[in-house]
Amino acid sequence: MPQDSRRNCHTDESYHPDRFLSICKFNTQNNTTVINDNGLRIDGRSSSDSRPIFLETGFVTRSKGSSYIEIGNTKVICACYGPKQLQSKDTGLRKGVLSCELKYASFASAVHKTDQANMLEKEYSVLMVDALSPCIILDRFPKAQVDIFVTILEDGGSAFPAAITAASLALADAGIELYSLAIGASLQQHKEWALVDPTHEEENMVALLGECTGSLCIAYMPGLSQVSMVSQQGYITHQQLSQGMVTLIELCKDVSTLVRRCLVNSIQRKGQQESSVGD
Amino acid sequence: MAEVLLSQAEKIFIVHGVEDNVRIDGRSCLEYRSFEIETGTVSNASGSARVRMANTDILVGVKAELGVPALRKPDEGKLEFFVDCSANANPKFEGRGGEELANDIASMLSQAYGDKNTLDMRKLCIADGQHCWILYIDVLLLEVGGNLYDAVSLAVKSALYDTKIPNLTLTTNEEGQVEIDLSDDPFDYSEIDVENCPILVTCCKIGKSHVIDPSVEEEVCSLCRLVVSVTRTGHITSTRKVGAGSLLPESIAEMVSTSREIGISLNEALLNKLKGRI
Repeated sequence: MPQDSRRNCHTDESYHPDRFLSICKFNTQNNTTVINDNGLRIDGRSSSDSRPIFLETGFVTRSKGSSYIEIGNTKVICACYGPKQLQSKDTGLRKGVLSCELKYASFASAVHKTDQANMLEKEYSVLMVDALSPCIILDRFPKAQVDIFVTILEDGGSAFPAAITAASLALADAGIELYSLAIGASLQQHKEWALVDPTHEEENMVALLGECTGSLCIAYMPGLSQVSMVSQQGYITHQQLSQGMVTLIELCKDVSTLVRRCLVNSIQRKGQQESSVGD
Repeated sequence: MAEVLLSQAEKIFIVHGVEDNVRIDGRSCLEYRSFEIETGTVSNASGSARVRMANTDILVGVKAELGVPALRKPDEGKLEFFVDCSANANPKFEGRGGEELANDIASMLSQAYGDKNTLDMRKLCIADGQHCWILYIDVLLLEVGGNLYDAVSLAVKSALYDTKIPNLTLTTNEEGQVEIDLSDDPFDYSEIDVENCPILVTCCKIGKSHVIDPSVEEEVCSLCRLVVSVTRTGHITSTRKVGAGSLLPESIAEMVSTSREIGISLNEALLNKLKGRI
């Protein structure tokens, strides 16, 4: 993927004024906790609750398939193009190739996009290929490739799992044959609490508070009951990891029914449009 | 990765062998190969190590330099990982060819070392918000022959153990600024506590079972690998699935617990070796 450094107008010399505030805020926040005595989080959810989800297909009219997803404040748009002829030299392949590109909009988070975010984009793009290639029947289009472009418009936390769900929805909308959908989900471990579907604040705060914290992100394929991507970091025990995996798989199953309903609705809508054109 | 072409029959031979707990080099599924570690190989670095594991050859150099701490973490030093894929290892790495693999390894290492329980970054701070040590950890892949992640992490931990950071004396001048003095005695240095540094353990799913420390041939046979970073105490600092396959939740749990046990004993063995206890 070509990177044009001129397009990122960020300089090292500038910084967000919030930095001065957040240091003070962090110092006072040592008293406040991520989760209160009643087991409720800052936004009033319990630790296992996820945020409301909105799904829609066909947002990008020129693409083969596209999707838009909102989870709380997180907003992700995704478009899928192809299959088209493979550009690279490896044309002897018997399987198709999936290529993913994930981008944060410059205004996606409170702080302007940094070089670190660019590194993260590359890493997520690679993880996304790992997460989605097991669910596509790649034998159906040899010597061809499918492109997926994801833009994170607003990062309100758990943006990467939302991007995975959006991408599999776009693949299904494009009519590319799949073994199963891939649904993303993440959690943030804070001491003994596993905070499902964390917000951006929770992600940052838990990282700052330290002490036995970690994050876990998975992609689950409900059709095959298999996990297509695991990415975890932090300092957690073996039991917390396996427990977290079970919790997230349950969440993925719930989300997958919503994704299916969204797909059925979009097909019905297309059918109605065609029949009205026919009349 | 070095190109290894296997026929269907050879693959079936390996897969069936692994299911019967016998591998092509005679090991059982959970057996690690012996490997060589050499520390202090690079004279111009603060610390260095070379690991040779079968055909994999890794050279790591650590350089300690002074810098300014990050605004959000004024009392902590920094770790920077760079991976260089030499074209000697694989002609494919020529030019920008090795960039993807290099980024992948570097991000996996920084994730594994990302937690403050692994390496105490506060010890790398010299003056709050003004000066800190930045450790540049440069990994050079000289030859690539299977089980790359494990070999790199072993080399990194050994190089960090070998790292000597010169002691500094701090004085505050009239304007309240910190002045740094470096003694000219080359033996006036401190070392880094690597006790709790993680090691990456790759668990390779082949057929219905999984193997530790896969060879190149075995890597070709498997669709997906799980890389788990484990500390001496058995904490897990990062997990990542690598490759195009998918896994059942139960087999992930199994593979993580296998890697964890291997990781604990490997950490112990490495530390004993480094400290010259064996």
